[in-house]
Amino acid sequence: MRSAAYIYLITRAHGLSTHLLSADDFRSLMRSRDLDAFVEAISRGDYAEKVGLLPREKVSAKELNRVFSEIYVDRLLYLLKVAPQPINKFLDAYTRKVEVENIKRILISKFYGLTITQEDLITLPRTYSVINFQAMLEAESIEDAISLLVYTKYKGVGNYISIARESDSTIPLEAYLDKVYFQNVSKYIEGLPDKGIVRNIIGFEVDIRNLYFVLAYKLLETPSNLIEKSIIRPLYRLTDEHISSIIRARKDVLVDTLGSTPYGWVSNFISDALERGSIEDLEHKLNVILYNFLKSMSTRNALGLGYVLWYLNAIYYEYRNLTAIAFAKELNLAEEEVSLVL
Amino acid sequence: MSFISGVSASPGVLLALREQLNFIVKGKEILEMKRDRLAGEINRLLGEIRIRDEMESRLRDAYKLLVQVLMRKGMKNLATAAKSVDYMDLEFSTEMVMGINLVRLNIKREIKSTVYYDPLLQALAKKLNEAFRYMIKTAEIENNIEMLAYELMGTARKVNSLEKIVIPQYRETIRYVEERLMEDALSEFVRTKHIVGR
Repeated sequence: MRSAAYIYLITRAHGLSTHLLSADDFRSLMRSRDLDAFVEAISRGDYAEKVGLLPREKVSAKELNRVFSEIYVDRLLYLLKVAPQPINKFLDAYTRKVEVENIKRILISKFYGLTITQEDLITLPRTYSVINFQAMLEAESIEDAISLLVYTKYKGVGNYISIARESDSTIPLEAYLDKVYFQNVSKYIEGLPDKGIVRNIIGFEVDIRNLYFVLAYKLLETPSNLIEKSIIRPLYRLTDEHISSIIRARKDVLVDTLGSTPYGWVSNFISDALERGSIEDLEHKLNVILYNFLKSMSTRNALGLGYVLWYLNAIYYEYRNLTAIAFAKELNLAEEEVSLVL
Repeated sequence: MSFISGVSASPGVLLALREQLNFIVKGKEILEMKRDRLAGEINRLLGEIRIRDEMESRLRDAYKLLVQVLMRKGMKNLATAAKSVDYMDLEFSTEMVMGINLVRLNIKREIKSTVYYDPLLQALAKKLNEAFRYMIKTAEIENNIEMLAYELMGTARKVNSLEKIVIPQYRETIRYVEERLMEDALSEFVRTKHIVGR
């Protein structure tokens, strides 16, 4: 028997999903004459208030990107308020991707000795994160910034500084943060009512993410030790042998190597991108595959967490798509160029 | 001609003029050799300048990807990544060809492109890096062609003026002095004959 709070959460997710922009909405936004027309068209629904507050002379793709990211975070965290335990813990871990993103941005800047301000971060509510981002921003060095993470689940990132320095790359640091994020999400799956579906979704997400990184790094001829460091474990359907065989494979046989993994069917969609060595195409195709998978899971589990997870991803894709259209309108790009990103 | 009008006709002047003409003709020959060498060098570089097309196509590709990354990642991510790009170290040297300092640009230190975690940013960095390498090579070739062409223009003008103006003037002057000397010798001969006849 499902609790009333759980049913309420699912109902809210269904209700909130009606606020999402439809494919027709995106098509009409893509056809906007210019950025002003785009702003006018988007000034309704969830976006009306914040976009409407932007002074006309301040309207730019960069400003809109900031507004869209604020709305994305608001939407992302809203469901947390109505989620009962233990779903709340799981959703809290799942939404930590924005927190991880901010930590990454600070650590990258500190690693390269760059200036970073609050403006460069995703705005998060004060009560959401225990991390003192302000102090991290003001830290003199990366070591000082990491020392502020000592009482958080990200404290182990400090062990990767020397490897990062040796390879002159932030890959070990960022990959570690992603690993912590996914491990934390996986930790809370056990107690969930729809744990089978949720494990399937998170596992698929991890596998697709690993495939993207391994294949993209292969195309970019990244050293195999760095590729290995970017892998998130535990793997789901992929195995260490699959990953090693892809890392060892020559670029021209990547499609065949992928064919021998449980994700052989994915090669039908990405073989063209792999042959052309197009990272942007590869990323787009894998995103579409992930989105379609989440969509099918939401249909199969319309009255469960599958739907909630699809909604949390759908708001992210909406944020991404609106940002893409805003920049496309500012740069006067053709509709076809935008459609490659959406 | 003012050149002729100021010349006094004497055997000494004729000798000096002949020597000067010989010197000028040799100078013209050397200038012609320089002109041919410059033209040859320009021709060689014009063959190399075809990389401009390659540079433009790589720059177009990089720009297309930049727009794609901007649309996908937004300004903040891209700006942070852009700020982390290290400088490319260039070594500037010169090489003397026929008295002209031609520029040589050598990349001493490449920009590392394996820095980024995000493969899209890494791909963009790689494409921009390649485009920059072509831009540097194109700039070197175009600058050298410009300098050689400028020098070629000056040399061709000098050869032309020697060939069409200075040398003909000298020849005309020498002819004039020779005729004057011949006339003087003839009149001297006639005068001597006349005195002897008296």
